[in-house]
Amino acid sequence: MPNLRGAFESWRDKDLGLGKRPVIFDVLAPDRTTSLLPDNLKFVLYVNPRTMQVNHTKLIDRARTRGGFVEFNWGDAADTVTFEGATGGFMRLYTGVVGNTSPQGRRQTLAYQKYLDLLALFHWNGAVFDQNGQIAAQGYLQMTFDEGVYTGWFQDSLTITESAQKPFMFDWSGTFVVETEVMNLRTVNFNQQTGLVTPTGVGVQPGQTIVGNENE
Amino acid sequence: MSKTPAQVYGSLGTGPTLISRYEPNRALPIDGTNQSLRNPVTGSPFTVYLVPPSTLVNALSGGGTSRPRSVFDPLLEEANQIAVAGNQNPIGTRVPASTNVGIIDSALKSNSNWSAVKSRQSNFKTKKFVSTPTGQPTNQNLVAQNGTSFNDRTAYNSNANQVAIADMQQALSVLSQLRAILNTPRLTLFVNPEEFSRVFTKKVSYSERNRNGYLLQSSFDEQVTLSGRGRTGNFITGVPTGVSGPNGQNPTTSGVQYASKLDSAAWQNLMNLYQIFKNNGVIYNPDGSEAHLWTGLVAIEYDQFVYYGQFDSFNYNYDESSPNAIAFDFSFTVSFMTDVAENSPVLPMQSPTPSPSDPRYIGQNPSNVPFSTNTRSNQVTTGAASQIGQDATFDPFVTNE
Repeated sequence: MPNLRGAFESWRDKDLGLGKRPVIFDVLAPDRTTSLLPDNLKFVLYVNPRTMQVNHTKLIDRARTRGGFVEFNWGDAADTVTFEGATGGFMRLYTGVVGNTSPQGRRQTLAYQKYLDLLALFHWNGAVFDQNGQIAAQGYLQMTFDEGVYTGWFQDSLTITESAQKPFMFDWSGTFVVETEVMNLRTVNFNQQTGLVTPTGVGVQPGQTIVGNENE
Repeated sequence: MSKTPAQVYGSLGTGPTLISRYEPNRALPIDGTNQSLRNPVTGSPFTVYLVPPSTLVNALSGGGTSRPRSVFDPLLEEANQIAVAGNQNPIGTRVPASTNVGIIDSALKSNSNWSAVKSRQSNFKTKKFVSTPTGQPTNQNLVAQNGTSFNDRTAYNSNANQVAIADMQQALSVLSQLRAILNTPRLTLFVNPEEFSRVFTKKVSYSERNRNGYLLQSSFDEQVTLSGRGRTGNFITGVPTGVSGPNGQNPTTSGVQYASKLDSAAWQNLMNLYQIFKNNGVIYNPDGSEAHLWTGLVAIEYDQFVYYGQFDSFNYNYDESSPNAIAFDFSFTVSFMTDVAENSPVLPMQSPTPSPSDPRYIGQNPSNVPFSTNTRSNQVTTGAASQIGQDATFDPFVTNE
């Protein structure tokens, strides 16, 4: 039976050596550790955003005085990640791309359902609601992309736009505010004896050119 | 030219909101740029480095920090001279001529003070509130005066309020962070920013008016602001290193592709710049908060100008239209800038009344110039003054005796 697949099989794709880097969302309990999603299940964006900008700002107030400027350092502003992307094409089984809104239309496509999942995640935002709709406990969203693990929440608005110029998809944009950021970086190892930068500490092999980050 | 692992920059203090973890490269990083373009003699390097807080460095090297002169000092000096001439006591100075933080002494004093406080608290528990000899203050009076029990007649007083450092743990953390700053090498970008702007702003207003015309209101210039926008080099890796992933798998990447990003020299160069941005020359309080104990400077050296100041923002952008490189931008506010150009047969014009905001006003390498009041109008006054040209071999854990 034919089926339609997204670009990613699961959230483990980035570790399979296929060169895939999905954007993964998890929902954490207030303890920042326990996932509120079912076991081994995480939310993977159907299509990676077109752009994803990570913004960092320092909070420094500057006052002009008679003798010069006085700077007050207040640390870091909350980091934000701004997204701009598309839902992916509305491809319906046995029909192909669809743009109509009939019951046998775009609502029956994987891309549309994933968009609704994203919208639900935005509304949920890691909160636990009581029967009156009030927030009883606040958890976290954890976004993972490549080396970065960002714990925070959606902030401001999630904008969904459909355009006549792009009838088979939605454009979406949003902002994720980051409380804590974990960067999993890599480095070459430094060989104390040879003074050369080597990956295993053995030494640089002839014909290999290794450059790290140069200093003067 | 020596090579520096990216992990060296990861030792910088970056505050509680960022955790940086390093693992070994799985493929060899390749720098595909033309290295000769970064030669400091023949090329155009764009270099960023950290300048540690001068007051902290001075304290540890045995010197004091000279107090900068203010506009009130001449008045005080004149008043003192008049007082002395009239055989009267001088008024005194505004603040001591120099100060020494005494970080280690403070920490040791705090440690002993804490022990003394604990001792007094345990003694207080054995005291009686009512039955005291006649004429002596009751323990109620003693508690009301200081919150803990002390004997004011023996002048046993706590100096706990006078220390600058809470304890030895805090002092050690400060020293570790300082050493990380001192040991962080200068970072030269592999690819210079595509766009680099310097904005010089006058503080001049000629819009208010009275019946006789417009009024000129002029003051010293605003701080210079820098902004840069650029791209990293492409993500290129070479042969695999043999390092496996966390699950034992050993997928390898090579060539120019996004999957090579983490192992690539270009990405690691950008992340090193990010670490410098997050540190911004700051010594953090080790209690896990964002409190700053000292503030240093970041220096950007380009085109034979050195800009001392701090980053205001740093952003980088993943874009599907450029999958093999990252675009970034930053903004920077300059506390002061210096011109370190060598003598040239082409001489600049000299103003008869040079502005303190003109970096050529200093006229020489600032490492030979003491903290000058001539440039005060364009300099930061709280904690950001730098010990320019600081000895790179200085180690805060080694006493200079």
